[in-house]
Amino acid sequence: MSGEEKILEVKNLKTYFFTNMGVVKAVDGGSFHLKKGQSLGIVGESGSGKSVTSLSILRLVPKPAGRIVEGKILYRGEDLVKKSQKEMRQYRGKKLFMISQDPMTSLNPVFNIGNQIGEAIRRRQNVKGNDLREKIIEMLKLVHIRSSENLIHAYPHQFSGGMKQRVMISMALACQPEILIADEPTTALDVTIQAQILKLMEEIRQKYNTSIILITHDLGVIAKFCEYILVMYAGKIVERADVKTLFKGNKHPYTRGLINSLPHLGKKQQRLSSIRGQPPDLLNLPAGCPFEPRCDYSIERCSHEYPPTESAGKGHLISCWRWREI
Amino acid sequence: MPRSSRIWVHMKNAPLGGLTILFLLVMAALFAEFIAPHSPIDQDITQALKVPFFLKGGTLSHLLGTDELGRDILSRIIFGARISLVVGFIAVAISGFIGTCLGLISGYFGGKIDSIIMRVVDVQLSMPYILIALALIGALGPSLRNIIIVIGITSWVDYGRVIRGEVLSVKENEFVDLAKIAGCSTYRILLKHIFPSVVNSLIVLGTLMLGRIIIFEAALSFLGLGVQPPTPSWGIMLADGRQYLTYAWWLATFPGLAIMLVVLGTNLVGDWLRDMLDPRQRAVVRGKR
Amino acid sequence: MKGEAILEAKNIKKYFLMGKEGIFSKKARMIKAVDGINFSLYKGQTFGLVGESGCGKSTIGRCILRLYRITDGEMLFQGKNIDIFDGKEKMQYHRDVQAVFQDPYGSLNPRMRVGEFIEEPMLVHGILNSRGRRERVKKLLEVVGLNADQARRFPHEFSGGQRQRICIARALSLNPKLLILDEPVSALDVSIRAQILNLLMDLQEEFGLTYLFISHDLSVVEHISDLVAVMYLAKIVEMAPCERIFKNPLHPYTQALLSAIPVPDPELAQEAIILEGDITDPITLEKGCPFRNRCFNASEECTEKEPKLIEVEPNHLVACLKIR
Repeated sequence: MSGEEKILEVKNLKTYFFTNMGVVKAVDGGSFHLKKGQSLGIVGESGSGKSVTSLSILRLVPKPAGRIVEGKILYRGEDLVKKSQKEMRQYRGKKLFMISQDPMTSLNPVFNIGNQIGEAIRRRQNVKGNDLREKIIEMLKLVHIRSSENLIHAYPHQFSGGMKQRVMISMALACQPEILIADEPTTALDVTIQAQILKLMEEIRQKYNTSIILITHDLGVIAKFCEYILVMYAGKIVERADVKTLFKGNKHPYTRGLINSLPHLGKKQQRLSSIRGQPPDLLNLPAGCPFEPRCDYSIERCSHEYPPTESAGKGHLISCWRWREI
Repeated sequence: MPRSSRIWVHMKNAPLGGLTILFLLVMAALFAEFIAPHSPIDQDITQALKVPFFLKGGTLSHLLGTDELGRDILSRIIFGARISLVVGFIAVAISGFIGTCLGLISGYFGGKIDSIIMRVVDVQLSMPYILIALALIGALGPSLRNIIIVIGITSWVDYGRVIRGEVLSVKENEFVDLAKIAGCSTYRILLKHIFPSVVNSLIVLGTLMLGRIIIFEAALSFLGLGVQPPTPSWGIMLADGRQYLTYAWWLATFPGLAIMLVVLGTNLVGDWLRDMLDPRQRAVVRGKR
Repeated sequence: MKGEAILEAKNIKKYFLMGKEGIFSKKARMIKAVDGINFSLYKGQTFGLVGESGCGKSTIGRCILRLYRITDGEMLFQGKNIDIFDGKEKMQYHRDVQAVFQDPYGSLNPRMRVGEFIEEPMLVHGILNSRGRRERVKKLLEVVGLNADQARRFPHEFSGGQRQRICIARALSLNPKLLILDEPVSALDVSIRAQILNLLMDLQEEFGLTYLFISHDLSVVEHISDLVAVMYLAKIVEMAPCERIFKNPLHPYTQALLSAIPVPDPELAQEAIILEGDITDPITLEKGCPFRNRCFNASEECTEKEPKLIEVEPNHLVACLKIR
């Protein structure tokens, strides 16, 4: 499936937001890599930093409050952090494409679908007129939308959520990106539509060998779709592993607590095990490990020193003082 | 994040210029008798058309010069502040009250009532306010009391529309539904749930309207429809000073500056209040799920 | 297993009129949000109502709460028709039936202290005196797992999960018999959902509450429900006790729905039944089965006849022409 070629390497990424209330360390020292054709999942809850990670890769961190203060993002050896916005435009929409949760804000409401897909196509190739129309129809077919004159001239608001996402995916296909970042692409969609979209994304990955970074809070989607997973909490990557190891052999208290707290379809339990406490307040993070206040395994050290990242073998990395005992 | 430090953050950004202007305005209005160097209505033809103190021939006893009847400009401006403020506050209160009530009713109940009220708003907005003022003053007679009433009645529409818009979005919140299923009366829902959520807009709009209403008063007085001489109003001073613009420019310029500064002040303060009271400005990063 | 039925919904219909065609309106568009629903809620039990967007499940909740007036049918609470309540009965009904909604941020009045917010229903019904109410608020806060001294705080000082607890405290303040829970955990972080679900289950046991649990999340519904009904486009397509529906779903839509849910277990590689197309526009429905254009079992007769909800096995009802 995925080759050994690393096409994206993120090294010690730190993206901070400087607000009136203080500094929010949205991403605090994240490092990972992405191989060609691989499906990488980033899972986390609110405040984990998963969305900001994807925005950082695309250099779309909202200014002036947000800034990448440290780190490298190497796309095929080129450090994206050092690029200007003008240079980034050569990457965005071509080699790097992003689909977000709400296609309503990604699709321009005043242009019809044909226009928008056409624009995506023209970024890569110079086609016009009838050739362009044929390409548009081809793109729509790839996402299983039967096109017609009416459809091409229709506007985004006339489409359902699922169809809008499919249009976004067809625009992504038109750009033939190497990396597709999907930020909660199916969260707002019904389950049956979600299944369609995920299947579509997998088809694309197989067919074009596109690497996909899937960002979500839904562990079920992650289990189904991703080969390798990063678990984020309060800006830090606390555990990472291939999908099987993460679900069956996880070693970080947060990962374990999270997976255990999910109701499993088909296995009714008396009481769900849960993680105590509240989600982290990014303005008031404790020194040391941010998960410590909610952790059942915490020791003295956890409250003032953040644990180093250690390997348990085969690409399984954990940041926890006590992972060996868990 | 404790609430007090949130307020402190906004205090740091307070528009000192605007607040100072408004402070001076209120002081002038309250303590005119003690601050003003002369009486605003005392005439002294021998002192007519004296230049301001910073020009050749000016004296310190008439800092901003005198008008054609020898009345001290500075004193008239200070007393004029009282008129502007009285008209401003009372008219804002009247229009705010009418506008809020109608906006609440219109937004919350919708349907026919909403249509009727909005039609009234449209009709009123289609008529130039000067004409309405002229007609009403013509019927009631020009006086301080009457222009307050006229301004109050014509200005409510701005409130009405803004408040109605706010109500439309507030009533979509689940807490309104929860109030209904708790058995709250409509009156209680409007008073305790809807109204507190629109109070912010009310305050902000109030400060912005203050400036506009002061201009409105000046305009009406300029046209002779407002306060009558010898009561000093900035509008009347503008009117009187118009004919002397070419050689005794200070008669009209200083009252004009006063109006401009007050409106600027209210706008700055209004903007700041809006930012401070807007709950979305709370700047706590809630990450996207 | 079944106790007494405290709520009976008989052939409930709720239609909405959407705008008019013009000043001289020929036909205002009618949306059939709920189109002939029958079910009963039994004391002390949880009834799970599942479906995707537009199926009408939230609308039913609102009809039960009297936020909408039903277009047709009878809704009986403890034998009495809720549509014809007089003032006193209406107030009593509000004491008996409460709700918790989906959005913890929109559910709390940002300008009210949470203590006042929890107290409000008691205030409106004239229960206890001022001091008594305050005491009860403290107790309610503790019951839902918060600190009693947080009553003076404002909503923005609380997280999403804590806000839902506050909503639950308010819902309990009048000692209700029935709670309508409309997606109560869907907007919460995953790690918090388990806390709130556990709380709800504990409260149900402690106070003998009956729940109507509305959700699109089937794994949550399976965990908490005794009886489950699946809705599609304003109708119930399948209804059965919880284990039955999840172990042996009969209706094609239920089967597709269950197979589409991604299970957080990579070893259970399920092949999802992919339904083509989107959920039909509810306005353009004519005759026949509303699911026919997406159904993998559909045939000629499905476009002609509309299936009725019938009991094909003991306690297991399905609305499908193919299943007898």
